[in-house]
Amino acid sequence: MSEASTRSRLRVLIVEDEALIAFDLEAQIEESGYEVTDIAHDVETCRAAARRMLPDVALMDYRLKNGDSGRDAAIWLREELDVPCIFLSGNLDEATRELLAPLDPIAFVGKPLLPPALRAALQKADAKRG
Amino acid sequence: MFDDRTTNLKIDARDLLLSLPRKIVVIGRDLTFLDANDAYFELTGRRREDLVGRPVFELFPMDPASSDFFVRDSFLRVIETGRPEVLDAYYYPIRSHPSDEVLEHRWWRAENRPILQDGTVVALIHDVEDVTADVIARRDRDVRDRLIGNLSRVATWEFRPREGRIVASAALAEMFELEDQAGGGPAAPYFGRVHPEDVARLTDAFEAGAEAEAGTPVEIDFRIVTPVAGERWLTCRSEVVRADSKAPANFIGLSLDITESKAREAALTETVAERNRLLKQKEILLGEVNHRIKNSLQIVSSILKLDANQAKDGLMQGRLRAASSRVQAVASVHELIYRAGQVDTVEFGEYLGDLCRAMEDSLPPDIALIHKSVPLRVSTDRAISLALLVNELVANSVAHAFQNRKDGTIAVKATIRDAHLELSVSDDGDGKADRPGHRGLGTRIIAAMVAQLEADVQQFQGARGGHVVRISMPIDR
Repeated sequence: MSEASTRSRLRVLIVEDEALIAFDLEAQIEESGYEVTDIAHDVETCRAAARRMLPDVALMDYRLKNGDSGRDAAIWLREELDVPCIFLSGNLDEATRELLAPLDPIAFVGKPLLPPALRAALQKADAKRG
Repeated sequence: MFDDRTTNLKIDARDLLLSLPRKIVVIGRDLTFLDANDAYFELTGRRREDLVGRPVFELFPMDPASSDFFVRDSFLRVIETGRPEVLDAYYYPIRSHPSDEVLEHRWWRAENRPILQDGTVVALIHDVEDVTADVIARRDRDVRDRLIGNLSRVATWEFRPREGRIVASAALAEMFELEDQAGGGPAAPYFGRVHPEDVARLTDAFEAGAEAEAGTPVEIDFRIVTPVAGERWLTCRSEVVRADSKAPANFIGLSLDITESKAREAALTETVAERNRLLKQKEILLGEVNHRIKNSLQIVSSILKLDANQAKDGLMQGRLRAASSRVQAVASVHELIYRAGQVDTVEFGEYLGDLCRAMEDSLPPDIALIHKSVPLRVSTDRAISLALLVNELVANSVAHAFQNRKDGTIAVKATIRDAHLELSVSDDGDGKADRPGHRGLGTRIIAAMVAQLEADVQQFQGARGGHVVRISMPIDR
C-alpha cells in the first residue's frame, strides 16, 4: 500500500480570534492537503473543539480575545491531550520563545503569514507525527 | 536674754527662735534632734515629742534619690571644723504629713551653723528655707531664654511702613547679608535686596495689608539677590498689627528660605511638561501610523479596483470590486482614527456616514444609499467588524434586490434600543427575505462578523416591501 492511503490526513485545529485571518489559514491548510478540525477563538472554545475532535497539531495565535493567552491554551493541549502547537504571532521575543520552549512547539511562524512558512511548519508537524 | 528697755518687754532667746518664720532645727553632735521651732513642726507635721532625742536620719531617711548624703556630710563637716556652711538649692522631697503617701517635690536652701562652747562644737543649727518656688521660676526662665535663643535663629521682623523702618532679627539680617541692627533700622536696604521683578508684587502686598484690619495675614513668596548667596527664594508669613484701629498698620512676620523647595517644584513642573510633550508626541505618532495604514489600505483597494477594471471576465470583475470594497471598509476606520485623534474608540455615527459615502461612489448610478445614526462610541475592533458587515449587507442588497429594475434605495440605520445597538440594512427592492443558496465569501464574512460581535441577526420583509436585515448587539461594556 502507498503511504498516502495508509496515513490519515494531518488534522489541524486553528486557534485564532480574528475570523478573517482564520478563514485564510483554513484555506491555506486545506490547499496544502490537510484537514481543519475546527476554528476556535479563545481558550474555552479551543478546549471544546479539541475534545470534540482530537487534532494532530494546533495552529495557535499567541494573543487571543478576552485577554486570553495562546500559551494557556497550548499548555492545556500539551498536558491534557499531548497536542503540540505551531505558534503564530507578529512579534515573539526571545523571552516568550523561552517561556514556550517546555511545550516543545513544532515551530514559530511570524505574522504577516507567508504561505511557504506555514506549509513548512505543517509538513514538519506531519513528519513528527510518525 | 534679750532685754528691751523701752518697752520693758523681756524675750527669751529660745522663744525668739521658736517663733521665727524660718524652719530651724538644733541637732546634736550625734546627729539627733535636740530641738526645733514651730515653723519646722508645721512643715513636717510632727510634734516636739516625736522628734527630740531621735536620730535625724531615722526620721528622715536617706533616700539615694535625694540629697541626704549631701546634707549629712555637711553636718559632719560643720561638727568637725566648727565652720558654718551654706547648702544652696538642693532637692529633698517631703511628705506634708507623715501619713501622706505622695512625696512633694521640694528644693531647699540651708545654713548649718555650729553652736560653740569654749571653742568646741556642742551642737549645730540647721536653718532651712523652702526655695521651691524660686527654683521652678528659674527653671521656667531658663526654658524661656532657650526658646528666645532659638527664635533668634528664625528670621523674624517687624516692618513699620509709615516710619520706613524694620526691626529684624539677627537671622533676617544674615539672610539678607545686612548689618544686624538690634534696635531696628531703615527698611530700604532690605527692599534693595529684593529681586527687581518681585519688588512691585511685594510692595503691592504690603500696601494692600496697610488698608486691612489687624490680624489680616500677608503671605507672599519672592526672590532676593544678595552679594554672596545670590538669588534665593523666600516665603514671608506675616500679619497686620495695629496699636489701635486707627493706628497705622505694621507687619510682624517671619521669612523662610524656600529656594530648595522652589527648585524641586520647578524640576517637577519641567518633568510634567516633558511628560505631556511626550504624550502629545505619542498621540501624533499614533495618528501618523493610522494615517499610513489608511493610505496603504487605500492603495491596496485601488490596485484591486484597477485590476477589476482590467478584467475581461464579468465574474472576475465583480469579485475584484468586492475585494476592493472590503479593503476600503477597513481603511475608512483608520481614516477616522487619524482624523479624530483617538485610537481606542471611534464615533460610530460619523463613521457610518464616511463608510456609506465611500460605498455610494462604487454603486450603480441609480441606486441611492442613505444612512442615519445616533451618536455612539464603539471600540475600534468592533468598528472594523461592523464596517465589514455593513459593506457585505449593502453589497448583498445591490446584488439581489434590484433584479428587475435599475433604480432603488438602500438604507443603513443605527439606533439604540435596550442597551443594544441595532443596525439595519434595508432596501426597497423585490428580492425575497429568504435568499437561499448564497454560500459565497460574503455570506461567510457576515456569519463570522456576527459571531465575532456576539450579535443576533433577523431577516424579514419590510413594511413597504423590500428586504431588511437587522443586527442587534450589546453596546460596548
